[in-house]
Amino acid sequence: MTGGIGAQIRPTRLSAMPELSRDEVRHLADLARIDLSDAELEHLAPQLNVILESVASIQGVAGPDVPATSHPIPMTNVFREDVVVPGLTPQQALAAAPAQEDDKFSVPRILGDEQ
Amino acid sequence: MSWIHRTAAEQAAALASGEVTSVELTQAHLDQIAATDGELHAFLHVDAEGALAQARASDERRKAGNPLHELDGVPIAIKDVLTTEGLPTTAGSRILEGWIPPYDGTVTAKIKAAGLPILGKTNMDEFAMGSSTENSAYGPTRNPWDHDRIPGGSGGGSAAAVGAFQAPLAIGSDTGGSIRQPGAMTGTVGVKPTYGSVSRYGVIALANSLDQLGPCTRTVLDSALLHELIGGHDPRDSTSVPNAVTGLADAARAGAARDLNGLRVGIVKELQGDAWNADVVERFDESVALLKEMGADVVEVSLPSFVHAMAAYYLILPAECSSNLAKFDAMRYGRRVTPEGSPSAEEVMKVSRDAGFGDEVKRRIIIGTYALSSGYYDAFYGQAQKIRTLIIEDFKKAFEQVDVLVSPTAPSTAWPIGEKADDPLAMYLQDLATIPANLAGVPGISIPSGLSSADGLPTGIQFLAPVLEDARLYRVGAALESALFEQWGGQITPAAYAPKGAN
Repeated sequence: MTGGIGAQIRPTRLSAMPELSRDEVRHLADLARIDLSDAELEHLAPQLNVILESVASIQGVAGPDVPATSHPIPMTNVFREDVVVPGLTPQQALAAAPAQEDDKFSVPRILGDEQ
Repeated sequence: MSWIHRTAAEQAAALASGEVTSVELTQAHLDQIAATDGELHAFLHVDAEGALAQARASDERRKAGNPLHELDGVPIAIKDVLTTEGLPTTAGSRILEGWIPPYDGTVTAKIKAAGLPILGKTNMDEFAMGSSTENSAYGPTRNPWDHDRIPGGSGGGSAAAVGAFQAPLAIGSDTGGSIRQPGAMTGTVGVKPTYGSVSRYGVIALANSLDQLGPCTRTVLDSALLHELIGGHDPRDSTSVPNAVTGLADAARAGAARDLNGLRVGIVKELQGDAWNADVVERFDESVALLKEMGADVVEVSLPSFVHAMAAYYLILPAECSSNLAKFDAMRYGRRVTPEGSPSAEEVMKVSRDAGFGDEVKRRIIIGTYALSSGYYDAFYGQAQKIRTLIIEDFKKAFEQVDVLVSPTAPSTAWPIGEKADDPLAMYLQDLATIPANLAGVPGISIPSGLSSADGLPTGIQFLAPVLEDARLYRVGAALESALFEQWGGQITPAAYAPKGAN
């Protein structure tokens, strides 16, 4: 392999890997809308740190001149033909709803007390 | 030999000649499921009534001289990750317990349009996250070779169903090896097609840029027949490639002649070493020797960025899945758990998602949320996407030198249930050889390479080809399979499920 891509690989691990505290894991779980119990936090937090430590090895591997790839096969956005096709009926769409009312999804209140 | 022990191609030929009916074939497989699945647990849902109705309709078409497809009437099982109208679809998760989708995924629709009776839905790691099927919320699937061991994952149900003669054909999904690694663990064949060549419409997405549906079978030709049936452009999948991959069954039939003269095969340097068990490497080396005997030109090639593939994958995948799984919010469908008092929608979401998701799903959602958060995005997700570029470049360079790449499919044979269940990293390491293909979108096949001299369990060998060159996998796979079958005197079959009167 000559220069180019191969030359940019620096297989060194940076030591700037922050360890996630239990409070930080709780915050991330809140952002992801998962209500972790204390027991779950106790169980998952150390495992998450082991995983993060192992994936941290990629920091600094590729330099600024390597482009990012979001998708394995390059493609541009596509649109289907602009013709009317049948969709789900309200009955089909609502068939699995936990709660429904007047042909609509029924959800719990969306505003908090302070709002 | 009973019907269930024949290949899908043989079953199709017997239907065409009138030697058997689809009702007889379908009933025989339902009987095998009834007799074995209490122990094996390959299926989450069996639709005996529906399958037999489809079989009766198939027989009517045959009688009238109007079969829909070569495989019309040959039964099939579908991984529970793909929607099936009127049949439960859970993706192995509690959060979708009891969900009946109101529509068919494109691959389901293609299977129905070709007349294959659908036996049921197969077990899987929750949302396809895992390498052992132990992460299924509905309990693990057992390996037909040893009921105390895992069948691989995430598609352990499809692989076990095919390996235990419950179905001749099954659909799997492969995001980082979930078709190929269970194939290796169960002594069956599994193919991950080129990214975008089989529609993902109706697949409950794990990671959109990595997911691919594909065939699980007992022979290379059967995979080719199923692959051709399910492939092709789909306007309902925006990542669908314009042209169908073709010539797959022809390539498999040509490969069986065992002439590999002119084929350049590259052994991946980075997929060797201490991480690979000696008993797996022993069978791999024998297979490579067979490739040479058949005329292949075998060299070693280096793909240096493969060493970073696992880390990149376990950032890209959690990032995509943390976003994908946000839709399971207990508002429109799926399990809703309402805490006491007058909870807000957000509180209901949090409690429902905590109750509905298993540990591995929570781990990956949290890692993904972290990797995408401001301040860490460039260091983690951005880096992982660059590694992806480097791996694609590695493949391009390698395929300038060789036609296909080869490695063992997995570092070890099937391990005891429970051994790695709470050790996520040990589980992730099982995907070392299979992950790069998903990152680069290239196709891959795993076929059995024999039985381990250490524990008597199946080992697998993997071939990889350039994007859209899936036919190459079938040619080389069928050639090696043919040479190995000659050595073994046929397929390798777990003793407990072998045809009566066989060795």
